[in-house]
Amino acid sequence: MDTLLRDLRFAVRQLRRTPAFAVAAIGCLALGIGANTAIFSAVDGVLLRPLPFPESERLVTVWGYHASIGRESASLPDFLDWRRDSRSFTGMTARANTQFNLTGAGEPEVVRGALVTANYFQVLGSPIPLGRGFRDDEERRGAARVAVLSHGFWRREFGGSADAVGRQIMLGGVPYTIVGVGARGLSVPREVDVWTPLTTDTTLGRRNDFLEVVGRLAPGVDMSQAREELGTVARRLEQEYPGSNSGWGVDLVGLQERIVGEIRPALLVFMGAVGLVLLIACANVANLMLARVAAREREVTIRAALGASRRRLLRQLLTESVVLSLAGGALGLGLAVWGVRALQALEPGTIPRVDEIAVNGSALAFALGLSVLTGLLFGVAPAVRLMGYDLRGGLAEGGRGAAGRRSAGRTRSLLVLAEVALAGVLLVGAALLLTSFVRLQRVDPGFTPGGILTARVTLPRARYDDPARQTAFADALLERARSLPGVRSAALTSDAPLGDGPPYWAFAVAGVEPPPPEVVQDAVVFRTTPDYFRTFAIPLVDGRLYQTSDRGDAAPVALVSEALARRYWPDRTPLGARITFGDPADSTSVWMTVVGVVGDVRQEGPAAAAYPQIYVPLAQVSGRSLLIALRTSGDPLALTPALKRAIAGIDPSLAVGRVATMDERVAGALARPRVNALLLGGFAVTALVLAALGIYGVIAYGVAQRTRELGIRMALGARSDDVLRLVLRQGMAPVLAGLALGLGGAAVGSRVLRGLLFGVGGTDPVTYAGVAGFLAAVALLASYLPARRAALADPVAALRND
Amino acid sequence: MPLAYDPLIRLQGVTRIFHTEEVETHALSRIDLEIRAGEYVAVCGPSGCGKTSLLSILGLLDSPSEGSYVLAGEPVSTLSAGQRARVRARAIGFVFQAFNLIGDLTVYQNVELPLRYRGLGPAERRAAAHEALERVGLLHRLHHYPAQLSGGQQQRVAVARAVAGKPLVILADEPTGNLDSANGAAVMALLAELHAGGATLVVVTHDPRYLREAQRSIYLFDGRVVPAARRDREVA
Repeated sequence: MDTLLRDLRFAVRQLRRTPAFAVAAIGCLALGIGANTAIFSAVDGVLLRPLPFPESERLVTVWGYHASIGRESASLPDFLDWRRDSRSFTGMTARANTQFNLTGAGEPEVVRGALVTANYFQVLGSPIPLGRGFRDDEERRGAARVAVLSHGFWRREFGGSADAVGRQIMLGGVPYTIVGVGARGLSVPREVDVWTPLTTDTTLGRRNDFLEVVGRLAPGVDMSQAREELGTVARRLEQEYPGSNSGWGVDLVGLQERIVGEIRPALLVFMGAVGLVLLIACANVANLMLARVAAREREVTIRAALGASRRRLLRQLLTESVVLSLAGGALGLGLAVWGVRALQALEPGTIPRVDEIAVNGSALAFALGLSVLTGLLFGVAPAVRLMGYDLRGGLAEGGRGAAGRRSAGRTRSLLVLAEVALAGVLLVGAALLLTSFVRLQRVDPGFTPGGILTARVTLPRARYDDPARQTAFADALLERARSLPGVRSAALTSDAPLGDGPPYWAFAVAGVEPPPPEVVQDAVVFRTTPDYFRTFAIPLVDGRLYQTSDRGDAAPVALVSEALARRYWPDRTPLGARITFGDPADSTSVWMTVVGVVGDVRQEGPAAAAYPQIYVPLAQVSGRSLLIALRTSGDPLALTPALKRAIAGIDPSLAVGRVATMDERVAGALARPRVNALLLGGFAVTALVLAALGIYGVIAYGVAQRTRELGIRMALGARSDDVLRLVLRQGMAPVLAGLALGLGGAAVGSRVLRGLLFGVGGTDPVTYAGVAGFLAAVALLASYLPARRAALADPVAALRND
Repeated sequence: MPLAYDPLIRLQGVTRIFHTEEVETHALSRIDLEIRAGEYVAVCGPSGCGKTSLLSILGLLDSPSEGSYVLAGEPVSTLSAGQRARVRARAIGFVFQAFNLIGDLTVYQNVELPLRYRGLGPAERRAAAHEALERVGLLHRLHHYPAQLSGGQQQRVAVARAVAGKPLVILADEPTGNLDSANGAAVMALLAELHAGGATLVVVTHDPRYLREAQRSIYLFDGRVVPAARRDREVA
């Protein structure tokens, strides 16, 4: 213990004596350890830490599954059958996301709601800390209207007062009694303000899929057993309801996987990236340590001569390494705290559970472990050098007349090679993601987003259940919106591109044999007013657009997108064809005539191909949830107050929600690739700077070590150019080898990026050539500066150097 | 060895001044010196008298602050660094006190290095290096590294490197300073043999035995060449 303390004191004293070395080494390590701790905190908070529910690993999401469309939400009848007939779960619950107009307390407000079955809170295992949850009888039609508030909403709207329970709130113009307040952190997988009971004794179609189902596995039952049991139930439903359930099975996904599964690949890529940054930092510090060991050879020789064993010397050296890395780790921890805060502040909502990311005990343990490991890692090279050091040679060396030692630079060259290889891997990854992002930005979405303002209005059922009232509201709103200053065109629509996910409706074509049950024939369906196409600048390709005369009393019409026309009428015009969303065999189904073809729109973002789409007039298929879109000649957001006044002028109880420009929606669709490119780009730049500093340091140190040799060469007739070339050639040799290794490694490693790339292959030759050229240029510059200094050195002074 | 230039080296009024932090140091003051081709000149004097500065100027490692230097009929005192390097490669051979071999290069590579800088082809380099190493008796050590040789052997390699390109003049700075007396004598015998073969030698030395071997001795004191009578006084 005493020896360890003495070693520690000596290590600290040594570092104080060489402050430039200490600052450089601690800075490198702080960057590497800080980045690793920050990303570990994110991985821990998002991927590793269980959800805030007891035995959350037993919570699974249950999905309908169809071979041709994959996983799908569940319909209410299917959910009820699954729940009734399965024994693998202690409970199964369903939720449907919705929005409410909150009125009665100042300006109407849109709040995020969820309709849930009565056992929702029990299944999640989250008791209601204030008040109660829902009773079974509250699922029934006509039951008293009750609500449970989220913890955040309760704090915001009621100041956290316990008196809130028992009070009433107006949701959609209807009074609801607050019966409870949910626990903090209950709002997963998405933020919710208010829960209300889902009415389960209602008649809904089996392909009206809108429910997210969560089950809690019974003790001793695993996911595959539950999947098998529900599969049996699904096969029975196929037989009982062939018209709706043919081809439909069931799939299960863990709840945590459902929430964080999409972000996992990106987070793991980032974890790998910061690992590479740390290795580069280690290589840099190892190089600095090597230089320091070389400068301390005489000291080591004297210690050895005085009786210190190699083991003793080795321990002293490793103690110094670990002291350095602990100092770097402490500083890195500060950087990690700052990095996590920056991530939470700048993250545009693409990372789930982002609020749960914290530099906590796990992160501290990680940073400490990483610091010790790092210290041992970068201490190895100098230690190996020390172990191989010929102490007798060291004493005799002063008398030798040869400049330079063959083995001295080899280890440093290997470290440079490793640094360049690692930086190359990171740069290629960042360049691929950046290229993907640029290509995504260049994708034509099929409409012109600039200058469009959108806002959502939900008409409460209590007063707008009648389609005529819905149409009257739509007409009044359009009229007022068009007269707002700066509005060039206005439209109403059920949905807009780049929303929460477009609605897919099954349809049939008259005179065409319906597809077999295992094939779902569906399309994205928007209900819009005629000016929708002008407002979004979606081109008419064939036929005509629908007009204001295409109202409820006129013949039903529809427009189809080019993708849909190509798929179903590949060799003829679709104009005049008839389609229905109902059962073609049912005589009451409404048939619509296709009157026009419009351009394709990428509804789900630039990365997803345009899905076949059908547009129908809102006047013929009305609805209560409306999105208003205004194309403006100025700043679209400046119109928000005027739009809200226009809506309040028609119905002051209506809230205006989700106000956003289409540019913001486009930016939102690109947020994740942008964050990916920015984060990996940031790590790659850090790696590049560290590698460049490493190369500069090694060459500069090498030049300093070889001053006399270079002086001899000049005495023998070498010109400045010869010296410059010599230093550059020797400096660039490990760089070029590292570059080759790095690009090879990137080609292998780019496989993990495959899911994050768009429009560019993992082995895109242009990207690789660009990175190679750029990295070589940076390395050349880093080598050139010390090489030039060597070339301009005074040979007399160089020869005098000893 | 060309004898067409007489003298081979002519210094007139050469002064070398170093400036360091507002202090002006006169390392050499108005040196006039002529050395004929084939001559063996010893330079001696106390430490700090300017011997190395003189050798640096003679070897074109440095330029005089004032005065002129004509080497083989060509004025070289105002040449650029690049031009000086070219002349150095062609006309000067160095032997240093500390041998100054390059540790990363083999014996052969050390000897052929100045020939590379002179721009000779591989065959010419090989022939010249072999001839020089044979002359110093180390042809059998071609592929050894300096660290594998004794001090005496290293200095013989340095001599081979100096003579391989058949320079106009060989400048030796205390060539025996790092050697024991036997090896020192062997190296000086080697230099004497080269002189006997026609080489022009300028040797800085303190050792009176080797001063006597030179045809002429130049004594430096405080950066000036001291006449023989005064030299005796200074020494006394």
